[in-house]
Parts: sequence; structure tokens; C-alpha cells
Amino acid sequence: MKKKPDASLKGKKPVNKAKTKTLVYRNPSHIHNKLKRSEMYGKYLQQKRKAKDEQKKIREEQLGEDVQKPVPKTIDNTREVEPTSVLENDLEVAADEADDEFAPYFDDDVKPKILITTRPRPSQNVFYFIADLQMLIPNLEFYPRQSYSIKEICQFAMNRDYTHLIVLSAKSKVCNGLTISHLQKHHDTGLAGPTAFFKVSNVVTAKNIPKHGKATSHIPELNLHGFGTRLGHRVGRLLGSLFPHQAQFQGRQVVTFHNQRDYIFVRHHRYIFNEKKKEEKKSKEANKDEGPPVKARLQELGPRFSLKLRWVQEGIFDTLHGEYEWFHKRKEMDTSRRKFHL
Amino acid sequence: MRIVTGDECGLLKECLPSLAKKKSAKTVDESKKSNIIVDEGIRRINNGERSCRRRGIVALTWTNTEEDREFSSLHLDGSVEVWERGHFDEDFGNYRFSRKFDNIFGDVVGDGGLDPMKRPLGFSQYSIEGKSMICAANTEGKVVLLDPTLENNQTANAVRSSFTVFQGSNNKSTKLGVTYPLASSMSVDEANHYVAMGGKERETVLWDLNTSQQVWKAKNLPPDAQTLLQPQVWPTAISFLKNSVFSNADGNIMAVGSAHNEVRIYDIRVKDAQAIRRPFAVTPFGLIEHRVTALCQSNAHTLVVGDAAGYLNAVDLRKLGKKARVKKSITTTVGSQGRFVGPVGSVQSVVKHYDSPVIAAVGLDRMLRVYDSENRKELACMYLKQRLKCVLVGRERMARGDDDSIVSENEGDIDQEDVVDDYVDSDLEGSVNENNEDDDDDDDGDDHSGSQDSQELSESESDIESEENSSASDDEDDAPPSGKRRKQ
Repeated sequence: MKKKPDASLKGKKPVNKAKTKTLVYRNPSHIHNKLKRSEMYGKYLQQKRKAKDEQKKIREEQLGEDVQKPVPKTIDNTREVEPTSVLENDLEVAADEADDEFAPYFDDDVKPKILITTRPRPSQNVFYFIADLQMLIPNLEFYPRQSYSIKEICQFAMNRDYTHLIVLSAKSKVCNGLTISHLQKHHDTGLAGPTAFFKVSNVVTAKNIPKHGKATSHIPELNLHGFGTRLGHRVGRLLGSLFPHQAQFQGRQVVTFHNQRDYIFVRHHRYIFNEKKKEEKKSKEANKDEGPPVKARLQELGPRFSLKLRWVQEGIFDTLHGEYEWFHKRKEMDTSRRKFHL
Repeated sequence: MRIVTGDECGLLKECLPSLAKKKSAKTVDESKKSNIIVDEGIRRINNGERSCRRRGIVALTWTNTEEDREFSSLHLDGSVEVWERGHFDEDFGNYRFSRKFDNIFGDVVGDGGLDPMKRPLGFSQYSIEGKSMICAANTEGKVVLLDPTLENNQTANAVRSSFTVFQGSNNKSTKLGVTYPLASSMSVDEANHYVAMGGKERETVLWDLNTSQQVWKAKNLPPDAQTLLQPQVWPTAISFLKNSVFSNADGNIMAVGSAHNEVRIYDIRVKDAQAIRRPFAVTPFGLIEHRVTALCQSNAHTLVVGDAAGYLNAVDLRKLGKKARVKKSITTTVGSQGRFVGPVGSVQSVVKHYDSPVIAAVGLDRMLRVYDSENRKELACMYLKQRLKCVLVGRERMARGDDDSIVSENEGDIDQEDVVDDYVDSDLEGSVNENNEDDDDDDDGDDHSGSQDSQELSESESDIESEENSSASDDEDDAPPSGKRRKQ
């Protein structure tokens, strides 16, 4: 026997009125007049917002006092666990890092001396970028490339006691690649250190940063943030070894290498601390925090760019015969949006 | 299955993939809550020693393979240490330090840096008249024969003989002011007591360990028609292929991988005037994209080639031709059977298990990976925290082996391996089928005796096997095998 709907409905479909909150305005897409339509749309959005807030209040009253805003799932939150991530108490990794190629820089035994060069026949923008990099990294010396091969340049640099070599590559007048090669030989094994190649993007020279400041020659502090895995540690230490580790705090400058989702953001700031004046204030919301007593303000100096690691090679730059410690293989490694390697 | 790995910081670790920790933490927050992840499957062998790069391990070799009893390690500072197995009841071998031989190459190493021109290159165990000896070489070309059974610290007595391979030639190989060491790879042929060594622009040479004389030297391919130059030579990985498709009673063939992205196969069975010095097979241009760093034979006709960017290729030896530049349109796939997906950094060592089709690969990406060599699937991947240089696979079967399950399935069923016959190329059918048929006869003979004893074959299995028998070998009579089974 066929079921018949209830007679009280009078032929209309049943609607759960408890669930839907009927809006006074409906979506004004049916209005042909553009002026009127845009006006009604504004009102429609306001109403929608108001209904949402009312629902929230009802929910809060129902659930009680301690209603915490649920933490949304972000890609950083739901990142896949890397087995190679370094945990705090790992003695083995600590022993390895105490003995690796960069330990002398972090112990301040060796001062870095860096040679920077470009691809043959670079464009003008690259020179401006190099000038900014000379403000960013102390002890950076530029030599024109002049069609020597990178292996030859490594040899020349090693002969003249340079510790690092940076080679910028460019395409269409914009810098797009950065190779850092550590030239100093390890005290035990006698082999020159690793080479890393990064893809450079979003290069903004100092001039183009709004309200930028001018960097001084004080040695900046170093901030390496977000390097979690073993590979991340290695790259972080390579970047950290570019700087002398005797920061001059009078200069109040800091260079930040922030790694997030395998992109390393490089920023150069000057900071200043402001103490908050203590006022006797009667605030309506007594629960709210007054904020920290000392606040730091930042002024951006110098260039701003991002790096993405492409490969790390053992030994000095040698694409033909070198051995890779890590090589990014897109099809094999980028299988998931939540998998990051640094 | 027991695996021993050595890394560049001098740590020796014993790994049992079957006991390895399974992934339990799913998100980053959960994993941060656990303080240290202790991997159940990994145990450090030389716990007392401080990790240090000058004690980095260059090579490992078994010196007593019965029950994985003893192995020795060659360190960067030129010392050889022997490790003996402690427990026999437990899964882990619990290896303990047994004895040490310092400075086997005779170079006294001070506190300063090690000379990269004189680093130890590798070593391997071989047995002569029932006595096990170790042959070690360094990058200067010096080869030392060591007796590992002597007591501790008796290096002078242990070193039985030594000779230098690249003598008489100009000592240094330089390019653009960079000096390269003389020798860059070595390998020992245990069966015939040869050591093969090669260096940058130095062809592979074979020296006899008993007579300390050079026996054979490789010859380069003829000059290229376009450039009028012979292809460049830089052997970076050498491997002797035992029981391969091309081997016979006289000896083995040798595979040499070079830094110029190719692997060459040499026939070294004949030594005197009729010696063939040119390679008889070369991998085609484009098959291997980077420097070859490791070679391993996975079965009679397959060679696993590991390169500097972490690519592990399985190459079919039968399909390689004489010319490096192949005229076929698909140059990169000639001879290639496929790739083992996984390693991200340079593969430092690839080793096959003694008899089961399992391969262990170890590299600079700090991971130990175990693969099934037949279907190229990854069986286990263990994170070992340091850049690994060498690996050893034990022979002993474990009491409980989860990853040995693939192995144990095929174990009793020898006929399954012979299905390869169905896929042989029509060109090679004539030459290859004969070899396989010979194998079939032996294997089927064994199988019959085994099946008669076991009395476990079901009817379906016997049907399958009799079908395979008929397809594989035409010479064999079909009636007796199946007749024998029906009687059961």
C-alpha cells in the first residue's frame, strides 16, 4: 500500500523548520537592476552574518562556559610524519652535527669568506640583487664570471682561501637559481663540503620594499626557523655557516631563514624594543590579555626572497660526476600535498 | 633476515626489518609527544665508540658466513676491525668487538686530516686453501692481503703480502687543478683470487692475489665516428658476476660501472694470448643518467645498477649490445627491466641475499631499503640517521620473518622461476633457451626427489607443474614426471 503524506501538510513538501532559519531576504540574483541588486546583496550578507552570530550564541549557551574555537586543519597541522625528523634528545644526531663540516663555523673557529658570482653575461637586475646580498651577508665578495666553468672557479676560490662559493643563475633578467658550495675541507676526511642548489623566487630588492631601512655593516643575528628533518638540519646549517657567529647586537639586525612547507623565506630586519607604558585602564572585558610588556617592532632592510631546495650534492659542485645526497624527484616524492622534506 | 650497515661516522648497526617499528604516529603532533623513537629493529653494534668521521666505515665483509658468525669492517683511518657474534639464541646477533688491525696500509695517520689521496677503498674476503684471507685496497693503488684470524694488534704478522697496482705510471691524475686519487673502485673475485681495480682515466686491471702479478687489462671501445675520440673511462663500481647467463666452468664475467653513465661487461675467462680485452656489452647511452656507484647481480641475467642520484635500475644482460649509441628509436629502454623506486640520494651499496631474491640498498639519504628483486617492490625501509656507506646481508634464516614471507612462498616451488621462458625475446631464444633448459633438467630432477619425499602436493599443484614442465623443456619426457606424481 502506497504511503500517503499527512493531510495537515495540504499537498506541500514537509520542511524541517527547526533546521532552516528563513531569511527575510533571499539571494538577490533575481533582480535585474544592477544598482538595486548590489544594494540588496549587501543587506543580504549582513543578515546572513547576523544569523550566524545568533546561532553561535545559542551554541555557546548550550555547551557552557569553556567553548574553545576548534582548530582548523591546515596543511601544516596535518603534515605527514617524516621518519627523518630530528627529535630533541637524539644523541646520535647531536654527535654527528658536532663533527660535520659546519661545526667550526658554529663554534666560531672559522670565519666565512664568501665568493659570489653569476652566470656568464648577467643582466642589470642581478647586479642590484648582488649589491643587496652584500648588505645581507657580511664578507661577501663579488667576482665577474667571465665564462670560467664552475669547477675552475671552485679551484681558484680554494686557492685563495674562500670558504663558500655562491653562484646565481638567472633567466629572463630575474635571478632564479642559487648554488651554495662549501669549499673548505673537512678536518678529518679531507673532502670539501656539500653543495646545495636552490630555486629562487619572489626576489624583491631593497629599493622596492615600502618603508625599508638601510642596512649597516654590523654582523646580524641569525634566525633559522622551521628546519625539522635531517635534511632540513643540513641545509639550515649550510645557510647558517654563511654568517660569522659573533653577532653585534648594537646593530640590532637579524637575518631570518624561515622554512615553511619546503620554502625557505629569507628576510633581513632591524628590530627595536618598545616598552609598553603601564596605564590604569578599566577595560570592559576583564579576561582579555593586556599584551606583553615589551614589544618588538621590525623594519625590513635588504632583499627579500624565497628559496626552494632542489638538490644537495656531496663534494663541490659537479653535476657530471658528483654524488647526490638528496635529489628532488618530483613524481616519486611529491605524492602527497602533506609531505614535506625539510 | 639480518642486515648490518656501516656509515660515515663509524657507527655499525644491526637491523632486522621484521622487527622494525611500524608507523604508529599519524600526525606531527602525535610524533612530537613521544620523546625518542626507539626503533626496535635497529641495534647499534659498536656502542662504546664515539662517533667520529675519521673512523668512518668504508667497507664491510663477512669473514665467517656460517650462522653469520663473524664480519669485519674497514675504517677510514686504515684499520680493520673484526666483530664476532655474541648470542645465538636471540634474533639479534649481538656482535662484539673481537680484534683490530691498525694501519694495514702502512701509512701512519696522525691527528691531522686524512689524506684523500690515500684513503682505503674497499676490501673483501676470499678463501685460499680453506683459510680465509682479506684483500684490501686503497686509493693509491696499494693492495694488502690480510689474515684476519690472527690475534689482536698483530698487523705486521697479519699482512701477508702487498703490492701496488698503478705503479710506474704518472702518479697524479689532475684536471683543472683538481687532483683525483689513482684508484676509484675495487672488487675481489673470490673464486679465482683476482682483484680488479680502476681509476679516473685508468682502465680496469686484474691482478692475481696469489702471484701478485697483473693478469689482464681492459681495453677501451674504438673511437666514436663523430668525435674521433675513444669514450672516457672512469670505473667507479666493479662487480664479478657469478653463475650468470654467460658464465661457464672457466670463470666469471665482470661488470664495470663508470662515472660516465655506463656499465660495461667484460669477459675475463681467458687470460693468455686469446684474452678478450674489449667489453662485449655496454649499456646504451641514456639508460643510466648519473655516475654509477653500486652494482649487484640479482639473478643469472639481471644486474642491478645504482647511481649517484638514487636511481636503482635493473638491467637485463642478455639484451645489451656492443655499441653504446644504439640506433633504435627507444634508446633508454634497451636492456632496462625497470627501476626500484625509493632511494633519494646516491646509492652507496647494493647487496643481494645469498639465495633468496631479496636486495638491500643503502645510500646517502640515510635509509636502508630492502626490495624483492623480482617484482621490484619495496619490502622494508628503515631510517638509520646517518649517511650509510656499506651493507651486509646475513645468510641465516630467522625464526619469525615477516618480510621473508615472499621468499618462503617461492621456496619449495622451483618451477615458478622457470616461467621466464615465456617472455624471452625471439632473437635470443636460441642461445638463451638452451641454458635455461639445462637448468630445468637439474631443477626438475631435484624437485622430483623433493616431491616424493614430502608427499604434500595437491592435485592442482601437480597439474600446474606438469604443464610448466611441458612448456619449458621439450627434451624431457612428460610421462615419467607426471606418472611419478600420480602414484603418490
